[in-house]
Amino acid sequence: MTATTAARALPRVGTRDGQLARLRGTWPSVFGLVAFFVIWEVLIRATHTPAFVVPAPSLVVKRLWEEFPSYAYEFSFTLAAAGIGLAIGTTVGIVGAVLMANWRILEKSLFPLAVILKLVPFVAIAPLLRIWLGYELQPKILLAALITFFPVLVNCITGFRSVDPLALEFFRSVGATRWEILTRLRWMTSQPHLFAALKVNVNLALAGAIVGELFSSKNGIGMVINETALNLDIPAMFAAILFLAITGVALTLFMNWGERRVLAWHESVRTTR
Amino acid sequence: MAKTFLAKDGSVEALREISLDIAEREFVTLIGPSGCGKSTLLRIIGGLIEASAGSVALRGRSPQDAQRTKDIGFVFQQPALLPWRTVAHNVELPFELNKGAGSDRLCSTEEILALVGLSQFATAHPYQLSGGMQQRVAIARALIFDPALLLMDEPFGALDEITRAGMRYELLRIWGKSQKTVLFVTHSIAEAIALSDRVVVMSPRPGEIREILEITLPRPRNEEIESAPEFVRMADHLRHLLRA
Repeated sequence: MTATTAARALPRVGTRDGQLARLRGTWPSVFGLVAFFVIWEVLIRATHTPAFVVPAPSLVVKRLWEEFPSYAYEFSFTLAAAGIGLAIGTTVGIVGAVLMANWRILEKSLFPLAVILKLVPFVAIAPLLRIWLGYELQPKILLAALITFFPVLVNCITGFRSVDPLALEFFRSVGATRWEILTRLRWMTSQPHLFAALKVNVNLALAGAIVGELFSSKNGIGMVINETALNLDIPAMFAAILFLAITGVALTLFMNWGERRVLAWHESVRTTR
Repeated sequence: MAKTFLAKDGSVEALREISLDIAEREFVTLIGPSGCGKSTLLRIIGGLIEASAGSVALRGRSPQDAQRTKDIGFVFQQPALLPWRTVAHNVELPFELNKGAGSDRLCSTEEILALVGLSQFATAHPYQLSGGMQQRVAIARALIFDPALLLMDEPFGALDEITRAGMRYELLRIWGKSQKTVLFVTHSIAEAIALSDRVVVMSPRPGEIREILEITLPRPRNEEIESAPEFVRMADHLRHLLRA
């Protein structure tokens, strides 16, 4: 076998042909999406439904176009709260997982507490956080952190434990330290689990921040939705929701892109190309 | 090297009164039916599990000491490579572990990959290789840091018969160049005879040494040796021992 044929024999990923095939595969979903909005628009016009009950998609898009700069400005607060909260939740989750994976006593004493914290519906503590922390970013950050730390903790622990037992034996056979086993084997093994948690958490953190804003805020997209509700400006409310849907899609695409880059070696990514 | 021990696996007696001496640079094979404790014995010698009685000495030291000084190279039934690392980075993994032990190096990564015939795959990832190629990476990983003892636990057990027969002589070629002491576990009679200086035949649970067979076939050996009358005679003898 020569070098060139050997190189060619390796499976290629992300080729132009693959991208074209993927593009061709997306048309049914595009069609479904377009059909949904067309039917919505036609129904509203045909039944002469007033805009303050359900606005037509064209009106919602028009309002979003007008309001976009102010929504983007308000959303930056939401995104900041969600992002900082997510960062804190992720860090706490990972550090907790490292501690619990290394010391059983810590797992036994702290894990039940984490479960209880997770089982409290987070919406229920939003009013309390307003009383404690006021109307700025802090209560939203805390809410986002509280929601996001648990999936990270659980998935990270699962990841640490799901190491290849033979790889672990190899590490031990050459006298690897616990720290080396953690950083070179367990940490990398937990990456797919960690990413799964992160993908869920991006949306959870946003939801947490928005709920926080609904209860108490001077800024943020949640505050916008609250105000449109008070004014019964339903088209603007739909526009804000559409804005959140679009950013949600963008964030999910971004996370998928990140996952493909970080986990290129993992079968979950390889097989979906 | 002297190894004498008596082991229990929970309440099941896995190994009984095993006594075995292996010389430096010797190639010794453990053969026996499934569940006779071959792998257990190998793991005790490699310091991965403890013997319940008796002791193991590698150049007069405990297996745990040998681990600490990186004197043991393990190859398992599965390659157990790290899927996120390239072939070259998998091979270099031992240098990133247990750094306190210092780093002897058998040869450069390029040289060891050439030795196992994988030069052009240095930057490939394990999933891009066949099972046999992955196993050769695992062998390279176990050799690169120049351990005194190579422990191989059915390294070709997961391979198809054709690949397996080829790997046998490839391993002998590599062994001829690196001259390690090898302890090799297998189910295969042909593998045991073709590779070894001595074949240790074990009986089923509890594992005991039934017989130690000297293989006097000349080296270097290749595929043709498997049709030599001497080879066939020894294979018959082994088959008889294993059936009994």
